[in-house]
Amino acid sequence: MSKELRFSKETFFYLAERAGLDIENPHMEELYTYVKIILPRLKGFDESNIFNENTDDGRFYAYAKRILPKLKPLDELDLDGVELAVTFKPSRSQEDE
Amino acid sequence: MNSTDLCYLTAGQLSRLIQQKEVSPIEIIEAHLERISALDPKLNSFITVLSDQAIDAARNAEEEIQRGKYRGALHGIPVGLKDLFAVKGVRNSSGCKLFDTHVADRDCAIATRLRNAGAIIVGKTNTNPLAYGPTSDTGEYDYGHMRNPWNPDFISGGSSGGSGSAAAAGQCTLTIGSDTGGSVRIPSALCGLVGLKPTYGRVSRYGFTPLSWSLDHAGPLTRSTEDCALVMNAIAGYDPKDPASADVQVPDYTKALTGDIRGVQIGLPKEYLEVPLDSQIYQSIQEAISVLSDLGATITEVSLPLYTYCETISGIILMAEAAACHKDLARINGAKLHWPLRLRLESGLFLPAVDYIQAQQARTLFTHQSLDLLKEVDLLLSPTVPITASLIGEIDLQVGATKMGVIAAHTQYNAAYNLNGFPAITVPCGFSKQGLPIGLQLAGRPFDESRVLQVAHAYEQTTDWHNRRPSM
Repeated sequence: MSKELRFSKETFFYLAERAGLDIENPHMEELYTYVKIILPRLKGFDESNIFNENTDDGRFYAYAKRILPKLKPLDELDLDGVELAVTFKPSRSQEDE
Repeated sequence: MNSTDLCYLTAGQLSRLIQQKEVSPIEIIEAHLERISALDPKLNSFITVLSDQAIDAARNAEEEIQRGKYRGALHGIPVGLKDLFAVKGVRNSSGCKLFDTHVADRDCAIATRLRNAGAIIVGKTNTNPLAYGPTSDTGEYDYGHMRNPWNPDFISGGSSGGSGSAAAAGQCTLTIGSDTGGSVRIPSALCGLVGLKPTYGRVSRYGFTPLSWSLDHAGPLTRSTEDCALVMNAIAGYDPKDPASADVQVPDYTKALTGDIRGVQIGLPKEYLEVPLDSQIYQSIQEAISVLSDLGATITEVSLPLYTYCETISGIILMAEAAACHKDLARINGAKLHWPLRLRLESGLFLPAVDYIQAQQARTLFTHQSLDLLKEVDLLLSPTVPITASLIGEIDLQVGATKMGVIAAHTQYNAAYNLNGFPAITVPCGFSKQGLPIGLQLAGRPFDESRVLQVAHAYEQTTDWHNRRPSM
């Protein structure tokens, strides 16, 4: 599978500004690189067509690879009607039963 | 008994000597403070050492005990708290230089409960910044690398790495860590300790710096299963100050340490052996299975198919919750944070809400599947970490036949139990040819820490891995 996440720089800067980040900061270029790697990985996309380790972005590429391995996309699961997780927390009365 | 021997006694052993008045809390605390001074330049286990406060507390403990007011097995015992558990009047950096001058104005729930049990806090242990990460792979951290007592060229694990090295090196009798994706169990396994991540809601998190509300847990790192049980007796229980705290009765955990595990059913999910695994770890796990079988437990292969989605689920939830938790920190002081931490926090701001919701739905499925499986068996067994400790600065690892990133390798077997919130313990089960420790993980039903401790203890008593000491 080789899907590409469409995430333009304009979209990124729009969302960054809404999140309260300083979009004039040069760091935003690093963050954009990183986000473009991380988000596809979380969806199980192959990001190899977006970056490679020989680019100037290699540091962030390498770091992002280490943060998340190849992941199985949740889209594969049938989540229709599944409730949001509530961590197991019985009341005392449930426990007594 | 020399000072080093004293520092390697467990809380259970020390408490018996204290009760018999063969050793005093002052002797114990002084010996440990000396050991911290001697070893910390090499290990970097501590961010703050509380020498004066600890000596004062030891004097009080001695006086109380002399007066006949003995508080129990932790009275006079030196403990270390990861430096994101607040202790009143003491710096609480959360591993970030940015908070180097932040002094807590109250005790966290665990500090209060440990003090009530008579334990003496000797220091705050080193951690990855905000506890976000299990390794030392991205350059020097704000308070330096945490080094493994078995070989200081190797990591002690993380994020509770200082807690791991301090307990393993005898700088404290026991320590407390937080565990969001394995941060109690990973350093415990890599340092040759017993580490317990209790059930979600079992131990209050009030007063500790959060990272991910629905994944964060707190638990002990010790040199014996008995000590784990003793700490749990002190720190477990309902606390209205933690919204996730569960009002569930707390047993006396030491009563589970019978040594008898005949008839216990243990499952080994086949999916755990289909992921990258070092051959030495595999061999140690097989030997551990053999020991458990000889003790009367039945070990069977089971299946937990949704385990293969756990990295995705936990990755999304952690990313979203950490960003929500610390967005103001990233926005206002991002430039002052360790650069990987900054990227990880900020990137969570771009995660679609739908992804987070899907992850929580998938988590529900995984939790139900886990509960169903634990109707068939009492416990699930796995390696704690698929490799031994990696070299400081190492980025890509060879795990079995697979080359993988250091973080993914370390968290492989841990995140599942942060997702379902079930109790999981690691107990030493061997050493590699390089002399580095290997851990066996056992996970049980919600709020059944007793069963987890029971089996871990029986295994421990049949082997001698936990009795080995690093040659510092």
